[in-house]
This record gives sequence, C-alpha cells and structure tokens, in this order.
Amino acid sequence: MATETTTENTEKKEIKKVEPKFRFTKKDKKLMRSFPYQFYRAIILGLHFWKLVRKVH
Amino acid sequence: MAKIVIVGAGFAGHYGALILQDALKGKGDHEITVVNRHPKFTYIPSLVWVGVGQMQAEETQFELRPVYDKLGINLVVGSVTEVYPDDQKVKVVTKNGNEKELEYDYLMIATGPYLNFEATEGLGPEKGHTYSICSPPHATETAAKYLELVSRLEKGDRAKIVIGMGHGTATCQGAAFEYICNVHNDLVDRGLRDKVDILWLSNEPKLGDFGIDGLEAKRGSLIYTSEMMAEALFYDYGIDYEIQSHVTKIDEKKIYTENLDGEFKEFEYDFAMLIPPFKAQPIKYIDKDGNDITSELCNPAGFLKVDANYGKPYEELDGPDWPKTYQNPKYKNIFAAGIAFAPPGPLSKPSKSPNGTLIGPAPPRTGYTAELSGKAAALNIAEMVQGNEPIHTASMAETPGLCVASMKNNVATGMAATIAIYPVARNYAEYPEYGRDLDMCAAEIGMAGAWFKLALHYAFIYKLQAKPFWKLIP
Repeated sequence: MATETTTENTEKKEIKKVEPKFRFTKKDKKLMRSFPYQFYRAIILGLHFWKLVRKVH
Repeated sequence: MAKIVIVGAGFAGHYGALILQDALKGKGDHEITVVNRHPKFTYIPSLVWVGVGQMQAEETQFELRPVYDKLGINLVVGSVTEVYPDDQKVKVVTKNGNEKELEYDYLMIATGPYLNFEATEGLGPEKGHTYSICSPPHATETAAKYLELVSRLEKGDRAKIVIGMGHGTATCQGAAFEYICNVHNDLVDRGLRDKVDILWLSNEPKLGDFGIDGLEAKRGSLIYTSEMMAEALFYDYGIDYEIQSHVTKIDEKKIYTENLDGEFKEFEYDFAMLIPPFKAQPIKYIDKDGNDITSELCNPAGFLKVDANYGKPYEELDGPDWPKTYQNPKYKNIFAAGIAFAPPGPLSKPSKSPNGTLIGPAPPRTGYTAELSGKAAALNIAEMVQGNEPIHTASMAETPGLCVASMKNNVATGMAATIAIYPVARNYAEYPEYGRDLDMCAAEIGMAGAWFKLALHYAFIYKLQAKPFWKLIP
C-alpha cells in the first residue's frame, strides 16, 4: 500500500494514492462496453431485480 | 368515512397516496389529502444528470394536481408546521402564507429531509460556497456553475473539483458518487479531464461504504466488495480520495476537514458539490395540554419514532431491531415513512475522532426503500380504516435495496453500476455470515446499467402519474 504526497497546491497536502487490491482487467473493460454481452447481462440482471422485487410486491 | 392526511409527496408519500387510494377503492367514502410544499413530484435520482447540464429539471418532474384530480385525492400546497396528535389535526401554512387546519383520523408523515446546510459553516448554494444536487433548483444552479467552469477550462484554465459529503454525519453517498463519475466522464468527453484534479471527500469509514456498510457480491469464486469496485474505478478515473473526513468549514477557496485520525486538513477547490446532512422538516408535535412533545415522539434529528428498537449501540443492532409497520408506538394512527421515520441506528460503523467528532454516515432510506416503507404504511392505514390491525411490513432488514448508480448517461456509450443488496440492513439473525444473502446481491459496472437507469427514469415517472397499468410496475 503506497502513500504519496501531492504538491500541486500552494501548500502541501497528503492525499492517499493507494494501489487498489482489485483492478478491472482489459477484458473486464471491453465487456463493460460490449453491446451483445451487456444485452445478455441486462437480461440476467433484469431477472435478478425481478426476483428481488417479487419478494416485496 | 375516514380522513387520511399524508404529509409529503416524494417516493414514500406520493406512492403511499396512490397505494392507499387503490386499497380503499370501493370500500367506503374516504378522504385522502396530501400536503406538499411543492405542486410537483420530482424524480430525485435523475437530478444527477441535471447537475451536469445533461437534462432539464422539468424532465424530472410532473404536476401532482392532475394525477390527484383523476384519483379523487386532495392536494394542499403548503407545509405542515404543527401536529396535534390528541386532537387529530395538523396546522398547515400554505404557499401564500395562510394558515389552515386539517383534521385527520390517520396521518402519514413522509416529508423527506430538511437539507441542513447550516450544520457546516460555508456549506450550500444559498449561504455558502458549495453546490448541491438535492433539489431541482439546486441541481439547475449546480449545472450552470459547472458549465461556467467548463468554459474556463476550455480557455486553458486548470481547476480543482471536490465532490462528496459536506458533514461527518451526512448520508446519500450514492448520489455524490454518481455525480463525481458523471463529471469525470463529461470532462473526458469534452477533452478537458487532464486540466482538472478531482477529489472524493467523504465521511465513509471505507471507500464504497455508501452509508450502507458497503456490499459484497459473488464474482466467480471471488467475494467482490463495493470497496474493491470503488477503489478500482477511482484508480482508473484518476480520482483522489479522502474518506473518514468531517468537513468543519468552507470558505471561498478552501474546504477544511478533520479526519478520524484527528488530523485537520485543507483542500483548495474551484468547484465543490457537497451533500448536506439531513434532519427532519421542522414539525412540532403538541399534546392536548399545549405541551411540546416533539422530543418524546421524535429522535434528536426530529425524525418520528416508529416500531423500531431504539437505544441499542451499533454493535448490538441487528435485523429484528428495524421497523416493520412504520406505526408510531404512542399514537397508533400516525405512521412515518421514507426519510421521515427515525432509524434505530446507522448501517455504517460510526466512529469518533480523538477530538470527539462523530464521523459516520447516517443510514440512507431514500428511493426504493422510501417507496416500500410508504407502501407498507399506506396498506396498514387501509387495514386500520377497515377495522383491522396493521399487518403489512417492509423492514429494511427484510427488503432489498436496488440501486443503479449512473456514471455516464448515454444509451450507446453510457455506464452505470447496477447494485442489488438483500436485505438493506444487515440481518445477522437471518444470515449469520455476512448479514446478507450473497446469492441475492449483485454489483456490476457496464452499459446495461445505463440502460436500466434511463428505463427506470421513464418507468417511475409513468407509474407515479398513475397512468394505465401503473400497478404492474413494481
């Protein structure tokens, strides 16, 4: 876990820049924008939402 | 004939009025009156787009009166200032300053929050230096100031943007998260992102907490958390963050904070959108002898107590302590829903700085959660009108939280985080390991979320206007 000091401001500020434990891979990012995959996910997530909504309606 | 007064016409109050009218249809000549400060309903989740100038405020609103005229519901535009629970009447100050009294047999308080900008010196657009997206006028003003900043950037200026929470106990981190992502992506699209430093400033105990103690979801064999999602996203977006922070003061150039380590920091800014803490709308409760009993009926923030177990420390609070029917324990004909009910405690772990400053988000109970509590309260009133006991429940420890956090509003290139949790409040009595059913939880970023977010905007505005087949939309 790295912490570095940024000095862009007129006075020093410590802003944590932490290397994340998890990163989105190139494949993840591609899938996030892939129309066919997102269409498939929309159906899956839509069904998931519907299942949850049916618990209360 | 029963007289029912609903105070507030947001998600809880307006939806409650529709449900109540439907439940009592054909069951006697009952009178439903909604008192609201504005003549319009606002679909608050879309104000994030208003705040970046991508939608007009009017597109998030519709007039309540035509809807209520169609359904036979009365609308009074004004504010309830006093409730007389023994005499069963409320005092209303109408928009033109006149006072009137409304009698009731059953009362639902669903006022939404008072935006408490006064809690932090220099916070807010009216008396301070920061902006907000919590109401249509605020979001419209925020967009104007943001676009002013954009034109300065186009001329070659650099800028520092701070987005987050304006107080150590503020809630609705999700809205600020949506705004910071939309601002980032808007600046990327304009080719200006490299001229801006963006900082997320929040009171969350950990990144991705969102005031709901974060979330976990299964991703193959991995338990994927909202902290991991937010960290990875901010890393990719180049957004710095300061969490566990309470904003103590804001002046024209700097935001002053104190964090959980007791450190005092200052951040320069050119544009800041900070969500204020919430407290209840100022309503006094007066008993039959003229005594002010507000402190007896409400918690210190003024939210009305309902059927929750109050007074437990955070560590002992569990699912069964959350309210179920939203009925006031003293006055059984009064209910509170949405933001207006007093929660038994926070969802996120509260902490104090070495200087004794409380830093921890209040529990969010907006949007879908508000709607569910409004529905339960309305159905319970309908039961009582018919001589039955309130049996309808919508405990936050038994109902799902559904949230689509917009990151960019575009059908072809948009992005949003689709989040589902079940239940909202961790319920270790039911789910000992995580307090939630991870098979029912989901967290996913993608274009599908952007479609959902846009679809929900139109679906909810359609449903809440009680248009044909509105009841089919959950």
